[in-house]
Amino acid sequence: MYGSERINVEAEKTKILIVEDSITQAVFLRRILQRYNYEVIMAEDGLRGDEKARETSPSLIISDVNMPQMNGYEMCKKVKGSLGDIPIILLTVLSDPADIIHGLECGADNFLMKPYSEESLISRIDNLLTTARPHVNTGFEVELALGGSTYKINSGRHQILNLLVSTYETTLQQQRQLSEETKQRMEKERLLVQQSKMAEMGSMITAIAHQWRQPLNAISLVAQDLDDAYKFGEISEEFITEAKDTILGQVDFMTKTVDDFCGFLRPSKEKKLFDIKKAAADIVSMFQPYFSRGGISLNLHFAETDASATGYPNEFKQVILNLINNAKDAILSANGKAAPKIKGRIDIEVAVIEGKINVIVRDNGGGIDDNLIGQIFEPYFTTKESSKGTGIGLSLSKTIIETNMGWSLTARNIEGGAEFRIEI
Amino acid sequence: MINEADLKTVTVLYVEDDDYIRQLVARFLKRRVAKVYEAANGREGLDIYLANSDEINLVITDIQMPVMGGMAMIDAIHKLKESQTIIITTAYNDEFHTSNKVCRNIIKPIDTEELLEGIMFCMGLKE
Ligand SMILES: Nc1ncnc2c1ncn2[C@@H]1O[C@H](COP(=O)(O)OP(=O)(O)OP(=O)(O)O)[C@@H](O)[C@H]1O
Ligand SMILES: [Mg+2]
Repeated sequence: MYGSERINVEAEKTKILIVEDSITQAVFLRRILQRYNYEVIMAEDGLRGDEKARETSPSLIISDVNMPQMNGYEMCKKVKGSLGDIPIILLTVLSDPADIIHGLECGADNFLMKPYSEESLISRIDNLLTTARPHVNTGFEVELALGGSTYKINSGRHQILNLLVSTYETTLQQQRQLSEETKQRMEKERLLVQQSKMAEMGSMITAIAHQWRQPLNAISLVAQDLDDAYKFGEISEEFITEAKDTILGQVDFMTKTVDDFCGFLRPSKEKKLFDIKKAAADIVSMFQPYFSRGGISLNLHFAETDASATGYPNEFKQVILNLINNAKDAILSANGKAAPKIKGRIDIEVAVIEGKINVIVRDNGGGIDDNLIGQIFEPYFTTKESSKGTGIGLSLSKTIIETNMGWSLTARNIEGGAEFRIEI
Repeated sequence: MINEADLKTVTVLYVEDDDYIRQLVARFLKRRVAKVYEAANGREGLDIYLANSDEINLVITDIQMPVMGGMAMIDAIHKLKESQTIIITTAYNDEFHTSNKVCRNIIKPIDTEELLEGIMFCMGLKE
């Protein structure tokens, strides 16, 4: 059985008129229709559409709505008035509920929301060409009030049903698209968080490696000393105890470093009241040794007054770490270019200004290019080579501070460097 | 041919801020050389050096230390006595922590065999 297949013999090709002012959209549509073996006639606005309809008497008209000269609704009304039996499909964007009313008013047979899929287009054409749908006034007239105007609608049930179904279809399709987009966005955000976690782990591992150098060195020396002391006849119970204590002392220190870092990596479960000064001091003490190795001094300046606030303490520390890491990168890159080298310094100030706690991170790394300062909080914006920066540090910091905690994070240039300010 | 006995005439200034490491390395040195002066930072090291520069044959120093770093101390010592033999012991093998003005750069963790070999070489006790 070939009944369901659309095989048109040359002689009985079905004629479809496309009325569309956008050439690209018209050509796109024509291509689809020709693939299904329809003969296509084109018109670039309502006025020409109406003329072509009279000249060629197509089996179906597909028309855009917004066009110069004469729009789709007007053309539809005109064609329906004189050549009433040609089915018309209107292509709308459906941004306004009044569009539906206009569509019904003008007597269109079916509607297709842009962007449409090929299947929904073809199924509508099929439907209109195969079902008998005499467009006759069915006698009932509906009065509809919308947005202050009253509309008289006397479309057939068939039309109203068609419209309902196509609106529903489109809504479904849009929703599917939307949830697909939401899914993609969420996936992207998840990836972003993942990447920043990796970057954070990277700085952690470097810092731990740094913190462990001295104790590892000490333990290795104790081991070498055991051998040496034996050769020199110094081994006694006292000697062994001392060696044991030294090793255990170093191991304790190493364990504590790891515990500190693990605690820091764990996300805070809930908002709580915490001491901003202590949180800043904690993060500085964890990273100070690592920074001073690079010749950069990290300095704390704390107001006398109490500075406690409600938020996520670990996330706050991560933001401070992002800021001081950026400052360090800026200083190192400035020192890579400039001679004589500057003495890098990062100042972290906690002050209470007009009743608000301010956490200010300043550096002397040369600051941010004035043309770029507007973009630094955008995700993936970076001026660093890919091995050194992914450009998510600041965008994530901004989300943590502003979205998650309701504070603010801003940046500006100061003499010799950059200044980042968290206002609580 | 390494002859450790020759070291018995050598006096060392050893500068290191980490107490454990200073104690352990000093102990290793004391078993072999005539005398070891210990200092916990560059400032202390320089003071001891100024007071005992005639006696001190070899300076062994860490780089990253509080108060005064190793590089500043080395510069000050070289200003006094350009020929002073110095060995650096540092955790970092980079341009900020090593120098080509010293006889040896030894990277931590310290291998005492390597340190000993370095001392012998720098004191001219070994080809
Ligand atoms: N203290 C600063 N001084 C100068 N420029 C800065 C400073 N902080 C940030 N920037 C600029 O803002 C850009 C974005 O910073 P952001 O922390 O978002 O990403 P990143 O540091 O490049 O990469 P990462 O994702 O590893 O943090 C940086 O590449 C840098 O150009
Ligand atoms: Mg960054």
